[in-house]
Amino acid sequence: MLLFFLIFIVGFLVVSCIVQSSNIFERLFLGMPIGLGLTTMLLFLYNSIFGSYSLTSVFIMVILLLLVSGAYFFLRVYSKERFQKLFKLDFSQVNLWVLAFLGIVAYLVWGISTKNLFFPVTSTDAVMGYDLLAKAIANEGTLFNSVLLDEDLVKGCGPRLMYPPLAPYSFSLAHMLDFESSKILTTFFYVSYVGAFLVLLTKISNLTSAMFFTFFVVIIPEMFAHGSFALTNIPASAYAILSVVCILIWHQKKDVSYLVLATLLSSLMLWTRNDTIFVFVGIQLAILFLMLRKKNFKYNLIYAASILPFIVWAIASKMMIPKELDSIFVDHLFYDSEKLNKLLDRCYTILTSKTLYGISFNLFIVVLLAHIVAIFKRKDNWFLLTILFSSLIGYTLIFYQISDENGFLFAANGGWLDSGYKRGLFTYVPLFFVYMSQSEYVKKGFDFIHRKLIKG
Amino acid sequence: MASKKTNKNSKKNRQKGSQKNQKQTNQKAVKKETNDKVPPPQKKKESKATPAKEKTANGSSMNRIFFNFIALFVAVIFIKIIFQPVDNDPDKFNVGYDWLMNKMLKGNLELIEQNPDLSTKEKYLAKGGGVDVDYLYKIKDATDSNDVLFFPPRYLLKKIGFKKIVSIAYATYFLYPRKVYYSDSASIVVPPDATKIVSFNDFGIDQNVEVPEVREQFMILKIKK
Repeated sequence: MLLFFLIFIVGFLVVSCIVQSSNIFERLFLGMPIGLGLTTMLLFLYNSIFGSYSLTSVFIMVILLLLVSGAYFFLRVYSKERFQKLFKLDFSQVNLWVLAFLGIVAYLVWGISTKNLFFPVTSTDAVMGYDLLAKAIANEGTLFNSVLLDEDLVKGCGPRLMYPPLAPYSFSLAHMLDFESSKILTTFFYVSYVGAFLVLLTKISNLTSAMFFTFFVVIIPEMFAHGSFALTNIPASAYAILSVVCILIWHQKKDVSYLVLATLLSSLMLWTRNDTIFVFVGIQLAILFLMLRKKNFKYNLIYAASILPFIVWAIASKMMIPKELDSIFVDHLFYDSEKLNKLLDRCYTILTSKTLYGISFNLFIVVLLAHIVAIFKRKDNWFLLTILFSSLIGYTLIFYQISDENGFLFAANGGWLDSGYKRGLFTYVPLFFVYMSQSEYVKKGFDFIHRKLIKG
Repeated sequence: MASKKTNKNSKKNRQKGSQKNQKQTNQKAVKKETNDKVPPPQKKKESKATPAKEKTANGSSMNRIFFNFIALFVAVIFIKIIFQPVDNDPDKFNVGYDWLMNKMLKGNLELIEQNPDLSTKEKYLAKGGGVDVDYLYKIKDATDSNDVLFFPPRYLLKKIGFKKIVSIAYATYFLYPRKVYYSDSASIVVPPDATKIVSFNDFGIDQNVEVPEVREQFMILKIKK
């Protein structure tokens, strides 16, 4: 556990350096996902330059990261006043409404984490993909190991081994430390995600509202179930959602440090799953529209840095992995109205499924329609809606480009749509609630309730 | 007179908001307070204002407590409605929330509470690992980590009743770092680096292997080198 503690401290220090005004909870909840992400990048760098590593080398690398981030923190960021302020906790906004929802959220997170830590890795995608690769990384000390370089295994695993390596590298740390399974990483990601979501949301809405919508985000049924699976969907969605919330904080508070934090989170998002590229595109579009009048593209350029890991992995995987798989995509643009209608129909069925996402979509549509005038007349939340719609439409249409020659695109229970699309929505459905929390009337309503609960 | 002037000055200076003047005024005010034994008439205002303020404060405090308890009540009712059991009725708005709380989470936590000491293998079997996981553990226990294993052809494994072992990725996950090969359906060609044959129904018995005295349906056969 010492290794994970050191990784957490690295993340804690990095967040402290990037957002100097961040509170203790932001640093605590963002510490682990950022520390893990940076560690995996360093491990990849080590593999690319020096080859295999041992557990001792991992410790040395993490300690080096710790020294660098610690040195920067103490030389450039630390001040006694700021440090004392960090531990002055303000509970003046807490009320019984918040405590009720906090209680149930804490119970749910505890419950799913208990389940997660008790059972070993059983999900097919992990067994025949990420965790298999993680075992090989742990044993051979390199990503480019006997599993990833074995043609039969790469074919047997399908596209799972083609994803960027954040998840397998992270899981491999647990195997190196001889844990019973790698699922402790899922708990690290899940707990951090829920906590950071709540804490960051309080930056742009009051605690009463933030707690209520965090509750709704936690109880998205399918996503909640994934809190006990060693897959890539929870880490990727966590990075994506937190990136978007950080971008919103930057947009509303004009605090550039949150743009930098969002850039880091997005780079880790793209270091986890390729399909999150649509979130990157959505954010770029929103920033572009925002800055188009001023013709100031500085912020687009800052955020563009987050695509680096995506490019690095695209090159590395092409060079190293013996990929003889047939591409699942149609290699040219086409128009097939029947396929498009069938696809949109199935996507709508998935999105509105109450067993998968509860009433998330219904609530979103109600709130969106209630704000239709505000959106068009006062441009209410157009920034967030640009990110949400452009990325969701892009993500949905990419499935249109997938070939259905073998019938696997529309296959029930396990096809690309029923299995893949629904998991990718983990990134977008929580953003419905972020939008609701920011929408004009809902915000006004919660401001009123919050005032009543705090001031009477 | 002098003290009145200083008071007026201090008010003007405060309005201007100039830091220097504020400092001066504060210094003068401090001097004045130390000179005058009787506190300024502000005290009279305070003595009148305090009960009113207290009343408002008490009122708002009571309101706050009242609203908080109302909010708590609403929150509890809301949470209860969200997680209300619906008997798998797909038309109910909370069918997914009911599943996560009352079925998935409750069922798993009960299973954990009743079986806290399960081994990893038993946990796999509890999660539907079936005969595949059972045999993969047997193979793992009967071989060394550096062994290279040669499996029967997939059709034979399917015929016996296996579902997951037929996948090289699945088998490798449980047997890693052992390397896994599958026999071709048409003819048996043992790879040169294979060290053991995983035998079902006498598969591989005719190869260059150490045949055990008692033959069983499942055996691990050591390849002679």
